[in-house]
Amino acid sequence: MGTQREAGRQPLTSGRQGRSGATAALSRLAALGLGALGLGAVALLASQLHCAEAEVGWRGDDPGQGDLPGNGDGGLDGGDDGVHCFTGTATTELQLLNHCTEAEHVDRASHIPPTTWDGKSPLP
Amino acid sequence: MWTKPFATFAASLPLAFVGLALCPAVSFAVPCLNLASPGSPAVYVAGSTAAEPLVRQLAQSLTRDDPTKLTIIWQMKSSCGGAEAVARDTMPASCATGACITGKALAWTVDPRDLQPAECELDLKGNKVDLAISDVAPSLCPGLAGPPITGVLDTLGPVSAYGVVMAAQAGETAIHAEEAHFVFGVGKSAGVKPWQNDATIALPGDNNAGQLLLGQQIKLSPGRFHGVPAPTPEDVVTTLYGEPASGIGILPTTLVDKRRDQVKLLAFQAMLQRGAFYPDRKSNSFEKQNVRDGHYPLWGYMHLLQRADPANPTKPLSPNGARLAGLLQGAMPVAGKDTLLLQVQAGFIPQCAMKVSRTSDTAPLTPLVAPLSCHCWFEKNVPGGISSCVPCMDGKTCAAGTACRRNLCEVQ
Repeated sequence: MGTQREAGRQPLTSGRQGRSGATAALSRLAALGLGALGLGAVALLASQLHCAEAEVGWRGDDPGQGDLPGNGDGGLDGGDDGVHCFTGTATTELQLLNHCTEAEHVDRASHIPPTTWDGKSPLP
Repeated sequence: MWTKPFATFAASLPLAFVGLALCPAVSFAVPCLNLASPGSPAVYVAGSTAAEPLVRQLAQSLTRDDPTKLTIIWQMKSSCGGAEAVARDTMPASCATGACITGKALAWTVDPRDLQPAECELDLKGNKVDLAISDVAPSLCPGLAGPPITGVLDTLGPVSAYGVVMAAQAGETAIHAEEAHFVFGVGKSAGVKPWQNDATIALPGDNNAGQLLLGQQIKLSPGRFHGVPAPTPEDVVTTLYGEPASGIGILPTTLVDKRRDQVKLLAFQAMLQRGAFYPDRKSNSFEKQNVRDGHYPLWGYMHLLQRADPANPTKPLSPNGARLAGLLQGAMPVAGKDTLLLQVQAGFIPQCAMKVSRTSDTAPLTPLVAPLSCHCWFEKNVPGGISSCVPCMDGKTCAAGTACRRNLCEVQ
């Protein structure tokens, strides 16, 4: 992640060096270039954060979820929030419960009315 | 010549006999001890409804086929009912309050024509229990909470899974732990669809292992469950069918697996889990993959509870109870049959087929590498199990990282 930040800074320094004595058009061009570089850096940073997440073992939305066995009416509904699972070597209960598997599972929203429980407070 | 009233009375006698035979409240049970033959000593066993299919198989073999015979006298109780019968049995010559078993029991006779066990009458003073079978540790039982239990030996048998169940035709397929907290803890007024009928929330009871194990998962302590009492598995099924779309209950998978045409297991989503999982790989399979690998936490070990010998506290007081405990653990054969296979056929999961373990009923799941794992063998012996394991002859070398056990290359 740190390495990628460095790479993003290099063009930024070069842009400043060429600014003195430049025309207004060149200045706008430089500003546009700066913006593009900034966006590129942000995109690079985001991709590295995703990689870092995968390295510790949590996988994001599973594109293959529709291919799970037994995925009929009673199976996975491909909910909007997707399925996250743990890909590393599970050592805790949370990691075991959420370890990636090809087993059939049901992914649906809670049926508890918000008037009964807000989903955040401790259970009564 | 008969008078008319006498003739009427005489004519009604056969009907009266039929009525008595059909009436479950009237029975002519023999004393249980009379059913034990001289060469087949009686062993008194009590406990978990989940264990019944396995006890039935062992009892029949022990009474009729094994050279060293035993007569099993079995009273099906709740897990905690069995645990209390042993834990409270502290008086050597009599039954203390809450100890022992009384009333009716079942015994398997030596006569092979008896396809079902005979009902018999236990001693009026009660019979001491040689072995209690519970799917929770005694310490989790509400009646045994308090000071640590002494003088009881607790050895672990196979894993017994439980399920939240509905009628087979119900539309719902899953339940979240938080939903179950409100359904079983509050009932209709919680408004959790479709479980909005208090009369069809079946509760096996605070002494039932399934209810206690579910309570651990949904943060509901004994005494906080809300519904109608359903002490036997039959009562649970009857309650579900009171309104099949909403009826809900708790049953061991050892019983549900034999009745999936009537009862469906709901996928269960534990707290902080993403997605709800069935005990098995699929809703219609039987290999308990999700129990074995940690995706389904609603299970307990079979606890085999025996009084310890006061003179030698590490040894069980009843040698015959200890023998039966060994058979239930799958440690030795009965009548030439593999008792580990009997465990599997009765719907239990041998410990060697588990990839996770717990140090207690309240402890979190942790990964397990069983020293003599039997995943391939287990899958081979359940309906629809994976059959891709490499076969081998015992003792022959398998590929690196695997070992030949029970004619299959198992991961070491």
